[in-house]
Amino acid sequence: MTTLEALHERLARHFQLLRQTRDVQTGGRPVFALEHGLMDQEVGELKAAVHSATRSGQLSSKWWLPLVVYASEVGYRYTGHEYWQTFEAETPEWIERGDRQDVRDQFQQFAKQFNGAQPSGPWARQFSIICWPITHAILPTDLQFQLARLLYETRQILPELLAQPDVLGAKLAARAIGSSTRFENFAQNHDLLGQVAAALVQGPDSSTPLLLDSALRRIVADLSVERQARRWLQDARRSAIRAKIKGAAGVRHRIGMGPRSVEDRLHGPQIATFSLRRKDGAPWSAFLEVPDLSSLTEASPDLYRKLASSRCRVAGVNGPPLAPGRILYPGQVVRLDEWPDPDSQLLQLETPDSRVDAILADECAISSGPVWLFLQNDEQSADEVLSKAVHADRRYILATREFGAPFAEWIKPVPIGCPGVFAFELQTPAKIGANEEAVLRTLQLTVLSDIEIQPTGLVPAGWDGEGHVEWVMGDVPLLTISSTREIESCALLLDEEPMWRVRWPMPPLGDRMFISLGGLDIGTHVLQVYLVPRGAQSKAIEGTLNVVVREPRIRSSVGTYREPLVIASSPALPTLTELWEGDAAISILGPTGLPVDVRVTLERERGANLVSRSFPGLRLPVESPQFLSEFDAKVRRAKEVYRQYDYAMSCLIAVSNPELGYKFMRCERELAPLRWGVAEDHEGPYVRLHDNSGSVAFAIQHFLFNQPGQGRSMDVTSSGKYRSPSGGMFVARIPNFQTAVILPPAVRDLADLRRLDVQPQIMTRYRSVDSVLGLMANAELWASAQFPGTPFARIPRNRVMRALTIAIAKTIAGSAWADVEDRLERGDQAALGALGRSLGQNEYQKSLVGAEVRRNATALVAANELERVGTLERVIRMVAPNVPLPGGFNWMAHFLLRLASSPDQALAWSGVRPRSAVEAAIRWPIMFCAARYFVLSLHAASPDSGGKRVYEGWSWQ
Amino acid sequence: MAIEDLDRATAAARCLEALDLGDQAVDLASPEAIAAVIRRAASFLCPITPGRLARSVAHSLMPLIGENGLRDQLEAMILTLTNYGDLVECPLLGDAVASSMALYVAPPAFVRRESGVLLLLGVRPEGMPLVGADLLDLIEYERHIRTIKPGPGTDLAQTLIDDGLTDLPADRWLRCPREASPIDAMTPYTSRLSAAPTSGRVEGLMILDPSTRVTYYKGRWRQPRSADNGRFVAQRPQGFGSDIWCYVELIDGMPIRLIDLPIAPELGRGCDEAWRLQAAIDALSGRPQRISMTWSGDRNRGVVQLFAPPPRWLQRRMDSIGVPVTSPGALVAYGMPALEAREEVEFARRMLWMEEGAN
Repeated sequence: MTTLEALHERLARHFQLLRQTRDVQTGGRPVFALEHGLMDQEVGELKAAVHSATRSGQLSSKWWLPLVVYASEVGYRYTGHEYWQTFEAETPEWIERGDRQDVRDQFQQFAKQFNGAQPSGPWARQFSIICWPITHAILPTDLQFQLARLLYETRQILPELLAQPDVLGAKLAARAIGSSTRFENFAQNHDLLGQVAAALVQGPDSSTPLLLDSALRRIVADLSVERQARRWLQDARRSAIRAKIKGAAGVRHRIGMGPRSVEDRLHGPQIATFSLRRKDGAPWSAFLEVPDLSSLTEASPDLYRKLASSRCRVAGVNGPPLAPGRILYPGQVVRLDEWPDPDSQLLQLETPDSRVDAILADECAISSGPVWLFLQNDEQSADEVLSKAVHADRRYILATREFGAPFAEWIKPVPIGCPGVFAFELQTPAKIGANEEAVLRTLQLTVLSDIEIQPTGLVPAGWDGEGHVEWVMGDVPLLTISSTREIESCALLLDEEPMWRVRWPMPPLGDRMFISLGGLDIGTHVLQVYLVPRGAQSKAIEGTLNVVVREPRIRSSVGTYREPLVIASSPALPTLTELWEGDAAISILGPTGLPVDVRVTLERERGANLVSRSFPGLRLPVESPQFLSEFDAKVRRAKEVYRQYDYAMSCLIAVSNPELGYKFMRCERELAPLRWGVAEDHEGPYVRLHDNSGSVAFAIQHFLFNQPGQGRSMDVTSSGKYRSPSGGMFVARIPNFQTAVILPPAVRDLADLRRLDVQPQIMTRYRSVDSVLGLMANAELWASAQFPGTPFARIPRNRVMRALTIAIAKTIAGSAWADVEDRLERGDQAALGALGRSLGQNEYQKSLVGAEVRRNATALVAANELERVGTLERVIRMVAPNVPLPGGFNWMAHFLLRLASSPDQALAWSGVRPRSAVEAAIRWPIMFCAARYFVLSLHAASPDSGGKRVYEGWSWQ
Repeated sequence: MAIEDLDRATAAARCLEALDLGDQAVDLASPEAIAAVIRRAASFLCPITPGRLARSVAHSLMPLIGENGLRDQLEAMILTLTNYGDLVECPLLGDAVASSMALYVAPPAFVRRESGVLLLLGVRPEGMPLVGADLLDLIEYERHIRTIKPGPGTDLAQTLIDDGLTDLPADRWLRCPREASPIDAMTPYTSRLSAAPTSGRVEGLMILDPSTRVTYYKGRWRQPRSADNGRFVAQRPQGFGSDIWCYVELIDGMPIRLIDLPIAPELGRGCDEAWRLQAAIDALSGRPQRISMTWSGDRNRGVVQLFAPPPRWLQRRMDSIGVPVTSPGALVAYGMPALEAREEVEFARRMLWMEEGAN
């Protein structure tokens, strides 16, 4: 019997027994290959056996288990770099004799025979081979740190969930959104995450049927190697024990159990609350705190990603939408230009997405109108009372849609600088009698007379001052109930529980009673209080308190608007590529004038730094152009940093100030089946393909700058390296995935600079919709290509982008327009005037429309995106007033400006309408010509950005 | 779910227990408990103005411990926590309400005392504990100060760093201004004020009257009168948030010029600059501010008494050496070893040109 065969037999017996035990103890939880039960020395022998068999070509489909264990061991050490590169480097002659497909087949066999874990989720579909060994590695070492941190951050909810690994897994997965992509991928398998987490928290000494003791001990031991991770795990365990002990004393919170689930409890929209502020007796201004969307995004990674990269409008706020991702920063307060309509959608993506918009419409709202009540804190501020309940002898502001408030001397109009509502100040009388109560009811307010219910002791997480209170799980909810009347007894009704009755305390303690609410589930509750006054015929006094119990919120590492230091980024969590290519706007917010330390570090993996640079002398706030300029000078253009870029898996941006704290953002390289890297050696620049796909059927194409529409197929090289002295774009494709990169021309001396002077030739197209769509798709491909830091890549790439845009203009606008465009591109500035004069197909259009366009073009420089769109929209309405344009006039104007300045963006932006929009542009070319004239006029009038933009002055978000 | 009715004492005891102070706070009205309640409230409510924070806490505590002096006690403790470094006051973030000042929770950190004891600073959001569960019982509470002593053979500082606390060097925490003469200390302010444009009428202006008794701080504040001529430390209200500290020139009680403080925000807050500036004004007018040292029952321990609010750097220095105590007549007092007390008195005399003695 060979060693391989003996190992296979032994492992087969072990896994068979493990499967049977697990079936009995856990009802069929899966088995992992890492649970092989081998000692370190035996693992060494197994590796040697696999190496030997590979070298001798004797890897057998019959004795396959050693290879499964071997591949899982490699997966356990996987850090996000190429799995196969490591595997092949460690396995002699695998490239020549091994087959990646065999690895997948054998894992599938393992799943079938031993109830082995099956990878799931989108990640598993994209990485269809390496998902197996990585899943069977249970918790690869670099993810252990992140899990320990997550367990530490969620330690307060752990005790109740340890008995339900699947619920625990789902909860943890929700909180993992926005962490590293790999950890998010791991977290997609809730079952596995829950099992591992529960086992880790329960500890290696407490036996768990979920994982083999030896595997668990190994993970805990490896996790404990790093001090901080060990500390986090220990603290998560201690906190769990501590919370359990406290829970035994009567404070217990249930999550996802019992007759009402979390989903039931949380059903209902997140309410954005209003507040009013004024200065020195000026009219009140209205503000709205954007709701914390974390509970929504935790439930949907897709929603998080969409919001992270989209601009969002807030109802009632004019001007440009919030920058991409900014909606995800909790605590943000916006000034209202007008009062939002409660029936309209509060938050809306700038580019509509029916699914996301539907979620936002259902889940985010303002409180219902038509009146809104505010309790005045002082002369300058008032906060919304969600319950719309008033007490005697207090000062409120009432905002109402209707002017006609009932007459009463304690109600007087006050100015408010927010169209859409009228405001009244209410100074409620010391005693609210029947008349006053009637007035208040007319105003749709509830009167809480003779009773007060208020949180007591420790300040709750939220309290509107009247009837709405919010506690965090783990709190001891304590209330005071008081009355101005002499009370005999009290009854309380909490949700659907039986009524609870108690005698009211006797004097001298009879002015109030204290109530503790124990064991409230996460979610919303209603407490109704009935006080029976002394006296036979007294009517019971009623009061209501709305109670919300929620989980503690984890603060993002970048900060929130509730903290004095924030790294604000658009998109919310940029990738390394977006950061590197200047597609992320990063600013650092904080008190003006305070110094802030900023350090940027390229990391090979977490904690393994490649190169680090600090930005000295910065003071808050650091606006995004300043950050970009610092990043450009000290990181992107620094050769010693640039050279490390290809090896970097992430970039850590850390900002700190001793008074304000430490915030960081880690921009990770996106995990992709194929990835291009750009590097340079003694032969010049080259691109290198990193392959994680496991696919054998990929294709490589090379596009020269001078022939951007014609790709040339390349032979796949074993080194993954590709070169071209004149540079160009390389595209790698596998089924359902493609990626592109720009290789700069080799520039070693002054003579080589000629290579930057590219003259892209694009074949003349027929004037057809397909021709334009083809050019747009070509532009999209070139625009999607990633950049190295060097300007030698950007200059020729931008030439290509301009050539494609001009080709689109020629195709739509015809030969006369094309001639003038060519003159302009050759540097003939007079051609711009000629373009302006040629606007219009007849004399009437030329005199009317052309004049209008020329007049507006000069004003566009200072205009924002919306104003530019608005200007073109007016022109289109003149040109084609009765034309049924796709998406309407405004949409068409927006599309045409994108098409005329960044055709790559027009395709994706137009959603399902590109064909009909292009059709309309061809049919009424003057619309496009006007847009193109705007683009070129602005380009000519804008300062030179050093070749960063294809057309100056045009940067679409 | 369980509803339980409690008497006042039991309810207060439940709250005290929830603060996790161990047996170190005798009751909910103790300074240690008050400080803990404020920190916890701030962890949920920040950003918030000091006044609103005090109101919120008072609203919750009053039914349990009564209202007698509670608001004053809360306001003083919030100021102390801000000076100490558990809270930080700075302008609100975001465009919507720019220029408003608000309190934020300061980041978790620790400062090493020379004795090896570590001072804990900062507040975690959402009521989360500052340190790991194993360290909670080791924290000692003395009024607003939280300390933790390293045990033998443990690297406590490293453990705190692992828990996410910043190891804050003492000099960065204290951030003392340079020693200077009163005239030199005033020069940057007088120069700036002379160069400031003419100001108009300022509603709600309050000035610190240098002619009043320096040992009664609260009584030194008043509105300007028509006879007021000269330059004064002052406070003016702003639209939103707490009042702004300023230095103002009055002619016949009317503001002529005005500069807002601080002029060097990296060194401290407006009040820190204002209190030092006032100390310089008092010293130059021949009525220097006072500091005194008395003995506690033990001759080895002294009590340093201050009669005006100490700038942040002075309070932090005292916090790092001594223990806040209540001392009749003093606005702020610290107990500490006698030798240290003598040194602190000398330090304050040099830095704030004080004179020793309570009267």
